[in-house]
Parts: sequence; C-alpha cells; structure tokens
Amino acid sequence: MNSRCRLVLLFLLIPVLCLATEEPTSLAAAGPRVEITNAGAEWQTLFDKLAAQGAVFSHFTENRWFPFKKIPVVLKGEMRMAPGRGMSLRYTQPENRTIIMDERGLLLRDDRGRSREVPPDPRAVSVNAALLPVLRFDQKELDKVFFLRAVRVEKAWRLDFEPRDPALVRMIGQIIVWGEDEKIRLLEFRRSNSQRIEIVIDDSQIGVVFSADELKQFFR
Amino acid sequence: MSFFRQKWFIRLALAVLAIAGLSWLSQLDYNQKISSNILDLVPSDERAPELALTRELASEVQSRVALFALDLPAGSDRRAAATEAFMRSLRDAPAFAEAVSLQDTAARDTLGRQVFQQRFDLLLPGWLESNWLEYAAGDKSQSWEEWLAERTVIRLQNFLSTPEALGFQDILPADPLLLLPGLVGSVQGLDNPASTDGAGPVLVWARTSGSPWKEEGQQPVFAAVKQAQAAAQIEAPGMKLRWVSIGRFAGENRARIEQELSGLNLLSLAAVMGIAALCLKRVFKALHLAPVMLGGLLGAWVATTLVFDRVHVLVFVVGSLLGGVAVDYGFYLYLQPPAFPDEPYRSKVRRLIKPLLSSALTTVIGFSLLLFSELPLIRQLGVFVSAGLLSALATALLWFAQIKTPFMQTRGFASVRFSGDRPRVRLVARGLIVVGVLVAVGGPWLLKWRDNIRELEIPTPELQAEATEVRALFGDSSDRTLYITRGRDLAEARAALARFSTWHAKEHPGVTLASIGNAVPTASEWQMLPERIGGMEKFVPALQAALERHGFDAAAFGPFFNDWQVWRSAPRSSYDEVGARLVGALHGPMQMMASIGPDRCWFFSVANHSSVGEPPADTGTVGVSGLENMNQLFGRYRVSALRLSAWGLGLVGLSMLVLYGPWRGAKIFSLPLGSCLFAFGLLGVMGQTLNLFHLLGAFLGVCLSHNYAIFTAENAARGEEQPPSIRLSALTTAASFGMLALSEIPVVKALGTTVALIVVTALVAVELVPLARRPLLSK
Repeated sequence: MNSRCRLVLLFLLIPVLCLATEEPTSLAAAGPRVEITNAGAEWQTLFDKLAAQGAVFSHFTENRWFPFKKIPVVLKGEMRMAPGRGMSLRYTQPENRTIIMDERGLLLRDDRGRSREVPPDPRAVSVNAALLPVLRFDQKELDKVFFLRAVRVEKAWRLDFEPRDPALVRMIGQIIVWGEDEKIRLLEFRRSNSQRIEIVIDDSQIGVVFSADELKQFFR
Repeated sequence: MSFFRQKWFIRLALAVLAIAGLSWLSQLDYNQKISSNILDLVPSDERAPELALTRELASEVQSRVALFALDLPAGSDRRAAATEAFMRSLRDAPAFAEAVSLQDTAARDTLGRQVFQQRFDLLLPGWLESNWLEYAAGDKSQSWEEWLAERTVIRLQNFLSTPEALGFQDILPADPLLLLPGLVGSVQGLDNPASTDGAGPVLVWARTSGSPWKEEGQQPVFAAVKQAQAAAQIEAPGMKLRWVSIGRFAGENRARIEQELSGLNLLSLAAVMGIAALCLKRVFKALHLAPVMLGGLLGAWVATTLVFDRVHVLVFVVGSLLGGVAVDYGFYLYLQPPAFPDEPYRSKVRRLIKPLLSSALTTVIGFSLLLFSELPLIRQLGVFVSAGLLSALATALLWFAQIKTPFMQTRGFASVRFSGDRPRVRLVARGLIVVGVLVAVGGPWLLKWRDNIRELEIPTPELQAEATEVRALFGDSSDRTLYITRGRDLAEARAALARFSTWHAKEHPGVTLASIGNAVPTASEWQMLPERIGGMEKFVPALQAALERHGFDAAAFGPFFNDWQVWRSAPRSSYDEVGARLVGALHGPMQMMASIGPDRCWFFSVANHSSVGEPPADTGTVGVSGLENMNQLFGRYRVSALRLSAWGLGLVGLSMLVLYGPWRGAKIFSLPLGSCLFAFGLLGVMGQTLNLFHLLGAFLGVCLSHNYAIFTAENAARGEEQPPSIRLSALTTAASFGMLALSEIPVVKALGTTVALIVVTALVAVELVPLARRPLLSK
C-alpha cells in the first residue's frame, strides 16, 4: 500500500473513529453496562413494550456452531411464546421435534407426541429458570440472574445478558438478543465464537391468539 | 405319702421348675431374641426367589435408608448454612453411615466419570454388536471399517440437530461414537429428582449404620436426627424437619405394642377378675387360678425361646391369650365338686383326668400341626401354645394337689340350670338354633379374604402422612414402577435384563426402561468384542476421512483417537471386573441401582408407568410394589395355614371319634366345629374382610370350645349336670378376648374378635341345646 492510499484510508476512518467515541454505529459489539431495574427511560420503554407484547408466533432458523464442525448445523422451525405457558420451539427441519420450556422445566416432544422431561441440573440455576425471564423481559427476575449490556443504533438494539452465576456461564454462556423496535430479530446463546447457537427470527407476529388445540400440542 | 409331705414335695417341684424357667428367661438377650421386624415373619429360605430377594433388599439395603426434607424459609440466606450444619451433624453421628444432599451431584458425577472412563469396556461391545448385525444384514459393498466410520459420522451429524446435542457438545470430541448419549436415555430417571427451586425443601438421603429393626438402629438414630435438627435450627431457627425411615415406624410400633400389651392385659385381667367376683363366692380363692395361667405362660416362653433363635414379638402378643385357654384346666379342676365328702385329690384327678387329657392332648395335637407351617410366626405359635397348654395342665394338677381344699364354690346363679319346660322357651331356643345353623351353613360363603402385611403394624396416620409427603418429594409416585432383575452372577442378571427389556418394549412401547444394567454389556457381546475389534485396524483413518467429508474438523476429535489407541493397547479386564468397577462407583442413593455379590446379582429398573402385570418368569424380573409382594405371600400362607388348620381340626375330630366312639365323638366335635362355622358365617353376613389372623383365632377358639364340649360330655356321661366351670371359663375367656377386640393392632383385634365370638357361640350352644330338648332334660 503506498502512502497516498494510507492517507485516503486514514481520512475515511477518521469520522468512524470519532463517531465510535460518541455513540455506537453498529451492533457488532456489546454495549455499556446498564442497570436492569434502573435502565433509564429509553430502555425502559423498550422493556415495557417487550414485556407487554403477549403471545408471539414466528418462524425461525437456528444455526448451531460447534467447535469440531466447520459449518453450522441448520435447523428450521416455528417459535411460540405464550404468557404463562413459556416458549415452544417446534423444529420442522431436519426432523419434527418440539422443545417446551416453561416454569416446570424442559420437555422434549417427538413427532408422535411422546414427551420426555429433561431432569433439572441441581448444580446451577436451571436453564429454563434463566431463560424464561429473558423471554418475558421480567426485569426483576432478570436482575437476579444477569448483568446487562445494552446498545442501540437507531431502531435496532442489542442486549447482552451475562449470567451472574459462573456455573450458568459455563452452561449457557451469554444470551444476546438483537431486535428492532419491539421485535426480536435474533437470539444468540454464546459460549465462545466457535460454540454458539443463533436463532434468527423471521416474521414475528405479536399478540396472536393460540387455539386450544395449539396450546395442547405445543405447550404443557 | 402324707398330705404334708406331698404338699412340700410338690411345692419344691413347682419352685424348682419356676426357678429354672425364670433363670433361663433372665439370661436371654431380648434385643437379639425378640424381633419386631415384619420381614422376620417371612421364612429366610422363602421358596419364591422374588420374595426372598425382596426380603433381602428390604431388610439389608432399603430398610436402612432415611429420607429427610428440610423446610427452610424461602430466600433465607442461612439456607446453605443450615443444610450444611444438618449434614455435618448426621455425618458425625455414629448412627449414620452416610448422608448425602440431593443437591450434591458428587455421586452422579462419580458415576458419570466412571462410565466415561470405562466407556469402551462397558458400552462399545453392545454398540459394535448392534452395528455388526446391521452391517451383516446389508450388501457388504464397503469394508466393515469404512461402513462403520460412515455410519458413525452420519449418526453424529444427525445427533447434532437434536436438543440433547447441546448438553453433550463438550464430550463429543471424546465420544463421536455417541456411546454416552446412547446410554443416558436408558438410565435417566434412576436418580431422585432434586428440587432446584430455591424455596422448596432441601432433600437429604442418609443410610443408618444399624438395622432399624434393632435397638441400635432406632434410639441412636432418633437422637442423631434430633441433634442434627437442633444444629440446623441454630443456623435457621425457622427450619422444620420432615423425615421417614423404617426405624421410625419400627420404634413407634414397638412402643405401641408394649403399651398395648400392658394396657390390654390389665383390662383383660380386670374383666376376668370382675367376672370371677360376680360368679365366685370367695373371690380371693380365685387367686389359685393365677399359678395355672402363669405356669402355662412360663412353660410357653421357655419352650419357644429354647426352640427358636429369634421369636417375633407378635407371638407373645398373641400368645398372651394363652392364659384364656390355660385357665380352663384350673377352672375345671377347681370348680368340680367332690364326688363324695372328703374325696381325696387323687380320686378327683382320676375321675377328671380323661376329659382333661383329652382336651389338652387333642388341642396340642392340633397346634402341633402348625409346626409344619412355612410361616415362622405360625410355627412359633404352634410351639408356644402346645408347650403352654401342657405346662398349664401340669401346673394345675400339681398346684391343686398341694392345697387342702381343692374345690371352690360358685354363686347360685353361676351354676343355675335353665330348663326348656315351657314350650315358648323351647320354641325360641329351637328358633335360635335354626338361625345359628343357617348362618353357619350360608354365612361362610359370603366371606371375603384379604391379606395385608400392613395389618401387622399399628396404624400411625401422622407418621404415614409425613412419610408419604417425604417420599413424594423424593420421586415416589404411583406413575412409576420399579423392577428388580436378578441372576446368580453378572452375566445371568444382564442376560435376564436384556430379555426383560425386550418384553417391556413390547408391553409398553415408547416408555423408557431406565436401568444402570444397560451400561453393562451382555456376556455374549463381551465375548464377541475381541473378534469385532480385531477387524478394525483401519477404523481410525476411515473415521478421520469420514469426519472431514461431512464437514467436521477431524483434528478436534483428538481426545477420542488418543483414548481409542490407549484402550486397544491396554490389557483387557475380565467381564466381572468391568461390572464390579461400575457397581463400585455407585454411591449415595445410587447404591440402590445395582448389586453384585457372591451368588447373586441384581439391577433395579424404573419405568414411567403404573404397575400393571408381572413380567414373565424367564425375564428373572419382578415388579417391586413395596410390601405388595408380602401381601401375596401372606395370602399364600393363609391358604397354607387353612390347609394345616383343616388337617389339625380333622385330627382333633378323629381323636374324638377314637376316644369317645363315632356317635359321641361326633356330637362332641360338632360343638367347636359349629361354633367356628357360625362365627365365620356371622362375620361373612356382616361383610367383614378376614385375613390369616382370623384363621389363627378360629383355631384357638375351636380348641377352647372343644374343651367345653368334652367337659360337658364327660359330666353328662357320669349323669352330672354340665360343670359351672364351662360357663365361668367361657365368660372370662370372652371378656378377655373381647377386650383384645379393642386393640389398635389389626392382628390382635382380628384374633380377639374371632376367639370371643366362637367362645360365646359355644357357650350359647351349650346353654341352648338343653333348652331345646326338654323331654330329655325333664327325665
């Protein structure tokens, strides 16, 4: 690279560096630490909207990254969240299978409707006990379990939840939620760069009403 | 011999016998000699192996387990400190061998590590065998190693899209064959669920050092628990404790039995004395009957403790009723008026010895048959009653020989004879007899039998409710069924488990059968292992190539390839060593999962369905529905006891026919038989459910009423009126046994009710028959 090119590059980078010191322009990195129960009006409005959105239905694509796999394992399915019922992930690819996460724990249900409960791990706060407050945006519960880092660029935002309990950090790592307005776009469970799960949420429908059959089929 | 010399000679003989008996009893170790363990009612060489196994398990392993639920205030910051204080106190107490919090995953982690370290020995043989069968059934276009490598990677790829993959991702580099994930599904549910709810009770599993059936497994345990509770309450004053152990029930049972024994015996004595005071002219003279009863009881205790190494406490509870039978001989000898003034005692005895001996010996013959019973309790009762009756008769004969006037007069009403002179009285008497016959003939068909070993215990509702709560917290549920699969050695037990798994999968499709036995290869899989791995020299490069082909980083699986090489070059352990190492890693509650011992091996299995149907015998497996097995056992013993009782009664009846001739013998025998049938008939009409102990009570009642029949017949043969001893004896027996019907111990209640009913029936029959037969009496 000749000196002229270097000058051009520096010139181009100056405004970026200046902006970075003032406010974030991308969601690539975690934001500053925010008090969950005292996040300020800007964040509180978002939290209130997220907590009040009621039942949600969306399609998702899940990318699982393993340290021993060069490419991610891709799964597709439907996500249902119902207040008081928890979250249900129905995988449609590569196999039909449902995972239900609620107050009672984790339940796996196969295509034939046979259910199997995942026994809780007494070593740490159970995974569902950690995840449910995130899905509900229950600030009081969130504050008990996580530290929060938050960043916003215009309508887009990113919330990084880091468990306070080191055992939970070892189990699930960080939970990162990306969104736009009051819609969640991406959920990430990150233990490391090579070991993470991304759940990309495609078309979110907020405030849906699940039929009794749907509730029976996809929740406990 | 002069009366004076005879008196002192007899007194000396009685004193020597009493001192010898009491000396024997005083040197016994009653904690060792007397058992309150329900399981001691089951023969140690029980012929049904499943029951023997249940007995062994319940006695040796399960019975020492104590379960605790510590209720601590929600969110208390002292929660962990209180739990730690409780655990530390229990561990320090010699009464406890082990105490584990269910929050503590050390036992589970130890097992997990052991299975992981031994994964090639334990899980690879089965994995290879099932793959080989699949390969052999295919076209074999690829080599075995290439085919296996490709299948392994495809399965791994598929596994990564399952929810379980996220939990196993850290061990997959060391286990791409998915040996552990394959096992986990078949052992889940074996360990107790631990509450992770911060507000829920803290659960603690503990094992006592001593057997709960003995003193050292009771009071020291209670004291240690009290101390542990106090230690926890120092940390968290609001802490409450709920707990359950067999020792707690056994201790409570023992205390209540002792209380019942003293309370009911006092009541019985008061009832007997009350009747004696009403019927006898000089009550204090009735004290001469006491040595007869005491002599009978002493003889019974001595003989039973001499014959048996260990005697169940129920024998003494039930056996205390022996006094009611023993006193009959005293009554008969003492209340029988002299045949002529100043009749010598020898002459009186000569006159009465035949009915006395007939009565005693036939009863002894009947009870001796109980010695052939399979049930230790019944055998012990047989010895207790037989020895007691002979001792009572001997004591009665000796005792009255050393008193100057061996005759006691009754009050007038006690010996008054009713007559059937008036037609209306006759009609009523006959009507009552007809009704009695109808009940005796028809009623027994309405009887319902049900044997429940719980009836041997004193109901303790509060303890029971607490135990149910605590067991539910530990995962006990009617929706779970436990099975035990057994064999003489590991290979046999594992083969049986394989057969049982096949049966279970067919009977309960889709329901997982969890057993630690699934972590052990079958003996045939183990035997095939050298041959299978012998042909896998090129498996490692084939697997590395397959991994790369499917987008994996083969280098990331270094831990697996390293372990594989180490294992292949290491000397092979024996099959039994592999199994023993696994079982040796079971600690805490997991110890209950499996056992390998000399000449026996068993595995526990758990399935999430309610108990339905027993597995076929060739699976070597039985459902463990707690004491339900024991109930079946008791049902079987009742049938056995019924058969023996029938033989015993037959023998008693035959003795009567031989001693008194067919017609007279049959008439004598019809009284006890009819009374027994009437009592059962009445219980049947009243819709009562009977058990083994009603049957034993009936046997005792028959022997008592048999005495009355003989004494009545003997007096009638001599042209005398029926002796007042029958009325007095029946009334005192009915009173004392009637008191036992108030017992809270279902067994004692059953015995008391049955005996009292039979005796009263016999007395009523003895009184009614003359009323109904006026023409004969009027002559």
